[in-house]
Amino acid sequence: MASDKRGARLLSDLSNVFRKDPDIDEYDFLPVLEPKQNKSPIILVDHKLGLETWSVKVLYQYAYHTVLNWRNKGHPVQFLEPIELINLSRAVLLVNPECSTAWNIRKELIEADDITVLEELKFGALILSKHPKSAEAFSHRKWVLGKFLDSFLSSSHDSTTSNGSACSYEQGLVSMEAIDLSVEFVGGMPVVQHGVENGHQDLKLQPVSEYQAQMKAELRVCEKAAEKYPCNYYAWSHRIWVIQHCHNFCIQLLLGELQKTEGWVSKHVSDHSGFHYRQFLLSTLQRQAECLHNQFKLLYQNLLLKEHQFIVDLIHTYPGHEALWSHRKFVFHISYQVFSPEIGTVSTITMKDRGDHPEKPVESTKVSKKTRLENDHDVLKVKEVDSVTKKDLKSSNLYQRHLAKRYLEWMEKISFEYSR
Amino acid sequence: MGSPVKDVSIPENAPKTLLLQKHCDYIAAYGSKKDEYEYCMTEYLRMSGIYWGLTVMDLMGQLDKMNKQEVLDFVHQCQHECGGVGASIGHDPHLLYTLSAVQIVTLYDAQDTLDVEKLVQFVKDLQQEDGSFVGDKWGEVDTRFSFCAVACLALLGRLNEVNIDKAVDFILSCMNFDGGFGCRPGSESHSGQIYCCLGMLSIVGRLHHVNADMLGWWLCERQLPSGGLNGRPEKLPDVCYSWWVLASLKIIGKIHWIDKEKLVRFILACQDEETGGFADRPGDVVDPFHTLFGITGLSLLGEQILKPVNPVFCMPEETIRKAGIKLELLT
Repeated sequence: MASDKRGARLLSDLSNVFRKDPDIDEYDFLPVLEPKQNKSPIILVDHKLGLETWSVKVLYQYAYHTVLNWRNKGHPVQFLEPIELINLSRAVLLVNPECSTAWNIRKELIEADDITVLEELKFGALILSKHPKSAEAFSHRKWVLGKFLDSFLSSSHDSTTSNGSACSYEQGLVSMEAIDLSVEFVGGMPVVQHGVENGHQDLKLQPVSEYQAQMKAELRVCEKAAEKYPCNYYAWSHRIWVIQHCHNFCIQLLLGELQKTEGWVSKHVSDHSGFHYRQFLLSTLQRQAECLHNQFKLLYQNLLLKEHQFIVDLIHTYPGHEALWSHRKFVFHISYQVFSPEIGTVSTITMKDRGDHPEKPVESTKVSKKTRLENDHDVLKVKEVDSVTKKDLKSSNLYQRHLAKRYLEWMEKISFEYSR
Repeated sequence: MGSPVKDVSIPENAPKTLLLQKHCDYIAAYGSKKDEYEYCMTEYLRMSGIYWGLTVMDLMGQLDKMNKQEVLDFVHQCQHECGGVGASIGHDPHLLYTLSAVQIVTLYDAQDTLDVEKLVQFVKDLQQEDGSFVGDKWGEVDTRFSFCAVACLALLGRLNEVNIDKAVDFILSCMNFDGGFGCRPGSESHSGQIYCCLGMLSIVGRLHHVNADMLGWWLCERQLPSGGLNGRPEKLPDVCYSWWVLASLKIIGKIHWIDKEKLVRFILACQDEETGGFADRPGDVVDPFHTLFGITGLSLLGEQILKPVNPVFCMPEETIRKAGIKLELLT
């Protein structure tokens, strides 16, 4: 009972701190094992919250039992006000973000308009600042973003705002360098309805810019989580989900992300998840190669060649990294497909270009011919084998030599598979 | 220059034999020793915890050490009106814990503990238009849930209740160039997700869609010089990934592609001689989760003192046979 009293007191202190400062953006547990007299175990400095370890246990047990007891309609049946539920579930999740039932309670509070979507996104980001690979925190986030999308779409249906298409950006950007992620992406408004059952819509008008700002913030949340925990599967697959569901595969954004993550992966050469993200971007762009060419004057093949040079440079600079060799496999694999005369996109683009613009086929034909001659996939393979044999197989790094050998064996296998 | 491979080294004095009785004692006593805080920190996955403990005890031939009636009463209390099962009393229903509950009642041959009709309806309702499954009414999609759904229904003999063709299509849409699978279309290959996708395809007999050579290659590259297996490139080896990779290799008929002796040595080195149980890596703290996967790994590698484990359901082979379930495995 004594600990219950202490727990109730701690919860009320914590709730007050959040009421006073709604902009708390980081928290952690402070290694203080015993309570000190006349000193609160909850410390707030510059939007950073610290909780002394001894108090975490007391707080958690109190909040957990109270909220679960309520959920289970235990005896005595206790009525809890929404504000109490908000405070209790927050205390539980700050300590244990895998408790999905506590997240579900908050979903119900959002549906009842007791918590706003934006508040909840902020709270989720706070949780991720300490628990960057919490599966449940990311899962809840998707649901909240789904609500945000729904309310945005319903408000934009009512206005004259066009949803636009993924490729509505008409400006011809010539080089990757010209595309800055910080520019507003005009295309990529969501057109996919999120599958959330929901009789209630948050109909506050959300202008396009608010949507864009929130989605940019979302990518930053992913990046922060990836920064805090290496090979963060949840953070990177969430980022992929955001591109797919909230940005509708917008080409300009894909290009921006490709450019932006170049620096990130160069600084995290062991992080396979980061490289996989680039693989996702490149695979997605492959499906939009035609649009990429028409609107951005970018040849997909050139993106691949650039990626190949990028990964080869990294492999030479940082020998002995499986993540890098794995990415090289992807680049070879996709190039081998694309540069193949039978199934390649090269020929597809050529034919289309001729059909669509019979009056000016000269330039694209020239490009394609050149591409065909120089990048026939057998030539690609010969060049790749030659480069690995001459350089990487002779590396002074033992593991690099091993990885190079495995790569050559793999290449043999994959090219054999394609030739079947 | 030392090898830059991210790996662990196995200490000379690490255990080299299977400490069977220690593990039984560890699992049998687990729960009674824990303090209140730890208990409520892990309650959100209690149902799975019980499944891990019971399965590992059964594989070690000591299921009778567990309190059957207490377990079944608990399972019964965790089923909700909608048919789904929560991780513990008061916790919301979810497909993950629904599968654990079905596995538990199958181990005890006590399916009447659950309202099967309602449970089947719960699983059925979670299938989406594209064939995927969400974990609960809130809508998270994951290939793990496809496995959970199909495994539940197979154990209950009700596979015909969902659209298998569509479910398979969704799994295949999550396949990557390396032959592996991720949690959703476009996501990175991950050993745990691969296990779920292969398990799902095995249960419904559609393994021919898998590129076994390519995937086998990727899975074998998970083995590190220490003998342990990791779950993705440049991650540390871990007993639980050893199981998921190994089981996946078994399903696609490529288990002979890895060095079994080295893996056995790694798994044995993860035992704690004093407390019993297995840890993720040599020298770390043990837990029931890694204890199950240490034992199932050794079983799959042919340890005779253990009951043979089924690579798809992660339950004793005899239980699966008794339930009359036929699985496809590649050879």
